[in-house]
Amino acid sequence: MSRRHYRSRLLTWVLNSGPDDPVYNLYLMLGPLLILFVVLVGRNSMTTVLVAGYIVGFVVYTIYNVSTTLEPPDWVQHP
Amino acid sequence: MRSDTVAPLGRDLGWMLRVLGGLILVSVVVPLVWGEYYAVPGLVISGLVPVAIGWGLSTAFADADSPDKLHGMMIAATGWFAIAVFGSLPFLTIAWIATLTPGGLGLATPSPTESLTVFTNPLNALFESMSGFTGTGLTMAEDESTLPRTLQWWRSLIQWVGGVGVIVLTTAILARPGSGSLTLYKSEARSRKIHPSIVSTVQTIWWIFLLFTSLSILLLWLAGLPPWQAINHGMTAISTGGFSVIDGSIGAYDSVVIEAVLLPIMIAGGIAFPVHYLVLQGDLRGLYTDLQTRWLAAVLVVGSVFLWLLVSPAYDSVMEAFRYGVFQFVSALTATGFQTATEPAPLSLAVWPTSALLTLVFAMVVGAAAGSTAGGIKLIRLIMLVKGIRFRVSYVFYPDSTVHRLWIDGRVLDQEEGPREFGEAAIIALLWFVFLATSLFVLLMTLPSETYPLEMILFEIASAQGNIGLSAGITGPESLPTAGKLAFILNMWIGRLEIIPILVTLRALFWRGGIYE
Repeated sequence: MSRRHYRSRLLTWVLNSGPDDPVYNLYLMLGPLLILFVVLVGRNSMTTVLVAGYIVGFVVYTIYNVSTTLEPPDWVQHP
Repeated sequence: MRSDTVAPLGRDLGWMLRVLGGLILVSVVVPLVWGEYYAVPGLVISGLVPVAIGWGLSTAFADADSPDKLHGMMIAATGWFAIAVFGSLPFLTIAWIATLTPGGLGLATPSPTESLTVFTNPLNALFESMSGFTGTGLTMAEDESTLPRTLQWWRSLIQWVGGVGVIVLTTAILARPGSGSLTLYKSEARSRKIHPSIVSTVQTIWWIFLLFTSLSILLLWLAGLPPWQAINHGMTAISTGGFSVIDGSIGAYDSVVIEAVLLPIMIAGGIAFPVHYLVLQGDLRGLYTDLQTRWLAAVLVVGSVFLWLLVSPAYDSVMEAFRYGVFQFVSALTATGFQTATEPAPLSLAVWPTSALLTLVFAMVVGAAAGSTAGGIKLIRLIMLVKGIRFRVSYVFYPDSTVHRLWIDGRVLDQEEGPREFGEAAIIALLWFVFLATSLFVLLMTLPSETYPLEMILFEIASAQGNIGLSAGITGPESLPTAGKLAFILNMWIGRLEIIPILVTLRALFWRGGIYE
């Protein structure tokens, strides 16, 4: 399996498995990369601002998302 | 056992072992990065054994039929045990390599620490592995910080993977009326076959779990933890596992900020993951209208305040009591098991008032939401028991002609559903206490007399069976006798599988297998 093919499968999985939201998909993919970045670079003002921005951005987007979504998803079912 | 039962069981067990072996082999990266080269042979051997056995099983039973619900339960029960057994190999092999070849092999083997040498005993290794895969967090290591980084990672990884496993178990395999689990895909919920549902469910759970893990790790790093500790604690916090890489758990940091950051992570782990999925889809009502989440919030608030009041007289200040009381209650109810009431904190759990310990026992028995990574009998069953008992009592006061229905979570249960769901909750709660009492008997028989008070023994067993990990000091390689270790291993296994799948497996083994025919 080529690396190119592997990447496309990973991307397909990310796009198909989540809540079908491009922002959250981006968050999912950026998270591990940001962890790797702080491991390699260490703690400094830049990495601190980046990580704080990642977390604040997630919270703000989630609040925005729930406040603008009017219809509940149609998949919910109690078994 | 019939061949149509053995084949799917063997095939799926084979695949589980292959995945486990793959996880062990991938973990070879850790000793290479940290320069613990002596751990590499141990990991390679530990990985190849389950891969080989798993390959043999999955190949031999490749043509097996798709599993149904019965097989799903049996696969879960036997698979969890098998995974714990083979997952103990890294502990065992690395401990033996370090013990037998100190400084040898040209692999810079360090002098084995006491925490590492305890794993040369297979029972201790199995205990640690079972504690990890069940998300319990009780440990045989006296000082986790002296363990090789490889084993620190393996402990965190197995709790993390075990966390996903239990969500899959409760949202897919055990999902049925009254289990409180929302299904993730409407169409597949009707299917009797579990494979299609599991595949799609697992993918979605992994997606949410990975996102939350990244957030947890970065939050903990921001709170001041070094990267390695943030990664490990982030993984064991969101999976409500509770293993730590430092001696003294979270209490060793003595940091209000770190404790405050861990609270929402632990609570997130205690909420049913389908509810998280709803929120990520923009449906906030899914959070506050979910019955279990509402009860979780109520029990967390009431229980934390109650525990705070109980421990207040023992602490120097009210705020200090609040800090430790709230953290320990949240840790117990969500089944995380992170401990702050330990050295260097002013008071350890062992010297807390009996009433406070029993309050934590209540939290550990009840647990958080079904469909989360938490343990215990789960809130949905507590709700069912409370509503069912109220229904049965109030029934007496109505005339016979009255149509009296049991409501739960917006559903009206008819005369068939009501007793069935109430009965299931009652059976699980009863069996829970039967196994609790059995282990209590074992420990009372085997622990040195008058060493530990009854409430402390009860606390430790509730912690094991509820997959919590809080310890009052009984669990340890020397302090816990062999019979106690065996009992705790069974407690952790039974607790994780919510009892029924294990009974189903035993029934299939002894009844369908023809032993009594």
